[in-house]
Amino acid sequence: MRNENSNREAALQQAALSDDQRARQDWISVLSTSPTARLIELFDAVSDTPEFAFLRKPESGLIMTQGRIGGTGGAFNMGEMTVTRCSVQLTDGTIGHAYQAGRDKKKARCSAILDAMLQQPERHAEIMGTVIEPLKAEKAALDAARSKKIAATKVEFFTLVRGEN
Amino acid sequence: MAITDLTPGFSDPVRDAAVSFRIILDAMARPGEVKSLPVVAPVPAPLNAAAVCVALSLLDSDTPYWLAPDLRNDRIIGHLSFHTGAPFEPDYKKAQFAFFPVEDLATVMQDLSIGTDEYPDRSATAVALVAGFGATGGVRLTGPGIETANDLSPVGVTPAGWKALERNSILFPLGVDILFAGPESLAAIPRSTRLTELEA
Amino acid sequence: MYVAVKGGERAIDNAHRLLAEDRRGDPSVPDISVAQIREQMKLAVGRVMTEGSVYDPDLAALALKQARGDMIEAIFLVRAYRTTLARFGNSLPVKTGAMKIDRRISAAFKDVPGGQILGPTFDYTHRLIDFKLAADGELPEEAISSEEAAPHALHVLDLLAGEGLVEMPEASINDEAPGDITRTPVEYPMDRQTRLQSLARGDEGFLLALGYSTQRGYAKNHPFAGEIRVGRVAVEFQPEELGFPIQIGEMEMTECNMINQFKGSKTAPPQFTRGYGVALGHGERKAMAMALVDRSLRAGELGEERTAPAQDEEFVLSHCDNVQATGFVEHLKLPHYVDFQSELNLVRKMRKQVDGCMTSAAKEAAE
Repeated sequence: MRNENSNREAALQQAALSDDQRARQDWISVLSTSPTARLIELFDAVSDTPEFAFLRKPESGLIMTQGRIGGTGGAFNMGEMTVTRCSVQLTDGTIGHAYQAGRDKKKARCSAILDAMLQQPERHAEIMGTVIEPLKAEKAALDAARSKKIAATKVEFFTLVRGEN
Repeated sequence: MAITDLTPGFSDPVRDAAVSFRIILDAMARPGEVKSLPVVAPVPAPLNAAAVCVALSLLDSDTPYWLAPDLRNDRIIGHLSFHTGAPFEPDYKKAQFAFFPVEDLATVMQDLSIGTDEYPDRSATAVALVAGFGATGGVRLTGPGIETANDLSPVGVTPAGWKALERNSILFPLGVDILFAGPESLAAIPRSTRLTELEA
Repeated sequence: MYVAVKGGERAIDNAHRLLAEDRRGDPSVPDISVAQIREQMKLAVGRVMTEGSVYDPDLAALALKQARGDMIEAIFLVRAYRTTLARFGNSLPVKTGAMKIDRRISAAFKDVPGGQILGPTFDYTHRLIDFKLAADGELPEEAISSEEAAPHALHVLDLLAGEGLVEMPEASINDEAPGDITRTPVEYPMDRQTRLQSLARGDEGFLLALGYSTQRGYAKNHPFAGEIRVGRVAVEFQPEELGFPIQIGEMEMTECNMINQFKGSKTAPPQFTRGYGVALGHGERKAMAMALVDRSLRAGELGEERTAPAQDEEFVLSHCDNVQATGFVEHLKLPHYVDFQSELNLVRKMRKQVDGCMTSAAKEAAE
């Protein structure tokens, strides 16, 4: 039954994503999970941000989040989440998209521009180095620090009689 | 599956959609009155301006819509999906909105959803694309929202089309609501309106 | 019946001014910031998000500030706000098995792989008021482990799937479009998926009381907390224009899998059955109560006799929404002058008749 349930995700995930798509998935998730102020700070430090036109101006809306019964069963609607999205097109035609939790329009706009720049061969390495990698490292450090505090609350049972077998 | 050929929708989505919604509402409330559209959005051919305004204002992810084969291409489906989130429905009997050239009125009207006695609101809305509105001919409209009578003459309605609209008005409170979408204006014949054909 | 009553605009306007002033309280005390509420009243924020049914900590904190700490008022504000926003679509189902764990315990199995992780819990505190907190906000020295917690702690109950002693959650036919009570009118009986949506936004107090009633013998179902976990999950969404799923953010949530004894039926052997509960943010009590009620509402499906309120789907689901409940209860405050006048007249008339009868009866008795 779990197989049946995970079919949908599997179909989506394994839809033979190209390396480019996987790389894009990765930087988009870095942008969407990073703190707003820090992302904007790094964006502002980028020189020569390109001219762009909005395909869709930043707008806030909702995405219904779904869970699964028992964690692995049938899908159900848990509640919505505020999301802000934005799409831009650079003068060379490159399109950048952003969908991010929260209501910050500036963050969505900066992320869409960065998503577009990251697709440009001439800017990719630079943006990875000045924006994506620092954000990723900072997030990983925060998560690791939290995880170590959490690990310290793990119960170490000491059992007097061990098992029955 | 990704949509790559994208153009902007309304330039100020919130305001423009509200303005456009208001015009559509007025058109529905005053059957037969031709309302001009003050807002513009890029029009992917072969749709026209009013059809695009209707789509951008009324469609969302809960409203499957159908496009007649003549109006259908990947670019339009991608455009509407990007800006409205609405799913394209290949079977027009299941669509909540149907966009088609006005010449097809008689055939399309036969099978659009007319709602149920419990939920008359679950009917479809027909959006018939017209080249414009003529000065003579057409139909005389009476009913709610009309003080005495309004004459309406969308270009291109066939005699069979008018028959289909007459049949539709008899179904009230069930039935389809019709919008005639032109290059710069639109008019409506909701299901509550009675029609009498005029001599051309 | 309500009759429009005119007048009172100035009084209402002034009442709003006074409300704003009272919300602020003594101006010599510093104003509380939304960020302070978000960070320091986190569990209240979680409840507003869960029952307001919108994940947005800043929005929930602001609603709490505006509502002067009144939970249901804040939830109402969030529910009203959500109606102004368009829905972009549905997320992929979140993978709670891949949660970044803050807390994960099982009251049924001691030695779970990954271990019992207490996380930030009130459970072992002594519930003594800490007066030091009033004097200063000093933190105790932090405890840090040299290692990180296991990144992907498996669901405890999945580990038992092999033996077949615990039921596995069923797949569902409408997995891609589960019922949505915010989009389609509610109809009973409801499938379990839609029921869970309704319970997820249901009032914590109401579900707590119902869950408690099942433990006290009204629909007895012998629950064990199979697993409770709190942490962050990735929220993924697939925009049409991209054609592949992307992460749009992280969401803190709580999940509870209860296991309940089940004697078996004609079609099912004796085994443990399950109830499921979730909350946005950290909300264990809500998730646990919801899991108990989810299980008791499965009475029909499991062939159990329905004897208690917690097993009555329509009763539970049509009364668990506190915004609906408060709307109907609190509307009694609004002017019902004409209503009451007509009832007053009716009672006067009836009274007259009764008095008339009594006088004539007294007369007869005297004769």
